[in-house]
Amino acid sequence: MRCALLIALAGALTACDMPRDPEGTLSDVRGGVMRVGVIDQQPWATYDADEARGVEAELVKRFADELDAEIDWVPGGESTLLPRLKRFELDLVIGGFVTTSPWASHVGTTIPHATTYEHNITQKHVFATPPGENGWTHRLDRFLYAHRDEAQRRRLAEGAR
Amino acid sequence: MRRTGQYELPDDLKPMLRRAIVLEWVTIAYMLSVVVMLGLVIGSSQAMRTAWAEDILSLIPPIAFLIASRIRHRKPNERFPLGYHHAVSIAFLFAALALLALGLLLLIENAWKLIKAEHPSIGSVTWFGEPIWLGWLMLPVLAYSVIGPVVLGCLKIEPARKLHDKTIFADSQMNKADWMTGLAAGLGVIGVGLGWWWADAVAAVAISLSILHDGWRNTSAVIQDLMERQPYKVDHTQPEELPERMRDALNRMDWVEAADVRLREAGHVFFGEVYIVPRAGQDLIERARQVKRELGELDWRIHDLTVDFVGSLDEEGG
Repeated sequence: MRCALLIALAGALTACDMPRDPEGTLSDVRGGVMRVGVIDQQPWATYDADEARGVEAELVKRFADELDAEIDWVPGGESTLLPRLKRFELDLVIGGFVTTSPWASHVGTTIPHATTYEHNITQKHVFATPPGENGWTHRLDRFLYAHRDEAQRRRLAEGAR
Repeated sequence: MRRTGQYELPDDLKPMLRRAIVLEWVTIAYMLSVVVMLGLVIGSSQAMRTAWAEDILSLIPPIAFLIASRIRHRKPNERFPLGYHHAVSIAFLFAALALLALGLLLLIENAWKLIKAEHPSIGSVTWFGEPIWLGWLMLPVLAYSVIGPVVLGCLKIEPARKLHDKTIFADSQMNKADWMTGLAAGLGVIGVGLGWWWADAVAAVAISLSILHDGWRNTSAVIQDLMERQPYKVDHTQPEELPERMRDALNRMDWVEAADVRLREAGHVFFGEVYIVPRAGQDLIERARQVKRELGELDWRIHDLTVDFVGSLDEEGG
């Protein structure tokens, strides 16, 4: 047991790039293709004429630029996109998800990129990531955190429109 | 019905009881803080959730002890002529069954997650202007959750032995074993960090097995206590030598032809019968008093003895 503890400590100290992905999403996407599910939900994401728009879609485009990745948009509904996300056939699903959604415990979620307050309900908006792809999710978290104020600004601008 | 006398702990052990009570209160306070802190960083890690459940369960023995230590010193009365000493065992039976049931439940759940190959998501929180992976926060909290119980577990062994209290002993054993839970959960979290999705579920299975093991050991021990099997030492490893010492003391009395005893445990005290074949021409009432007095001085746990004079030790019944 003492031995296991030492190995664990050594592992923790040398592995400062934790967390990593069991399915390697981050390394696949970097310089490759990012498969993004889009659920139609104004003002967060819309899909029209082979192009996604909306607050979340814009953030995803910026993120893809950072990772030097092409985006493969996959439009659809919750009932088809989330099972595909769970099977690692998609890398990301956007479209107005909030932390309190019932499926939130079955997939990964990012930190909130925007907070809204409507009908006396505070909602924190997140992206859905494949389950257990913690390295990928954490990378996205860092991106979203770096662009947090901007995201809020865009949201307000959309709301005012 | 005739009542047994009220039990009083010997004066030299009273500070030990007070120490035990303080230790159990400290345990409850510490474990509550652990439960709150773990709850804050739990994420969707199964190992963390299982360790959390174990920490909540570890509140039961101290609570059982504190409740029972109030009840068991109540005066024997018409309805309970033998007093309330079994209160401890009954409290402990429930605690042990809770451990057993939860251990089984968690084992099945975690094994199922392993079979389904569920990948645990451990997200990030924003602290001090930086998104931090929750796993990094889990590790120090786990370390905190381990240090207290291990220290407390070691501190409780002396009171448990001196007070012959099996609840405190079982509690101290669970506390001392807590470091394994913490280590398993920590390895699970680090494993997930390294990209091994199964590490979390494997750690959770290991922790459920340890809960199950605690539950099984304690249930079997407390059931044997309630079945009034021969008195055992507080760590359940071997029978008490007290019956032999009592027999020897009796055989040293020059008016005793032959003698035997039968003891049963009630919580931390002993009730029992003494069978004596006396030599002829004794004042038996005075002899019976002498036996109770002298045997009672052998050990503070001897609470209530019945002395029976028989023609031969082979007589049936009695």
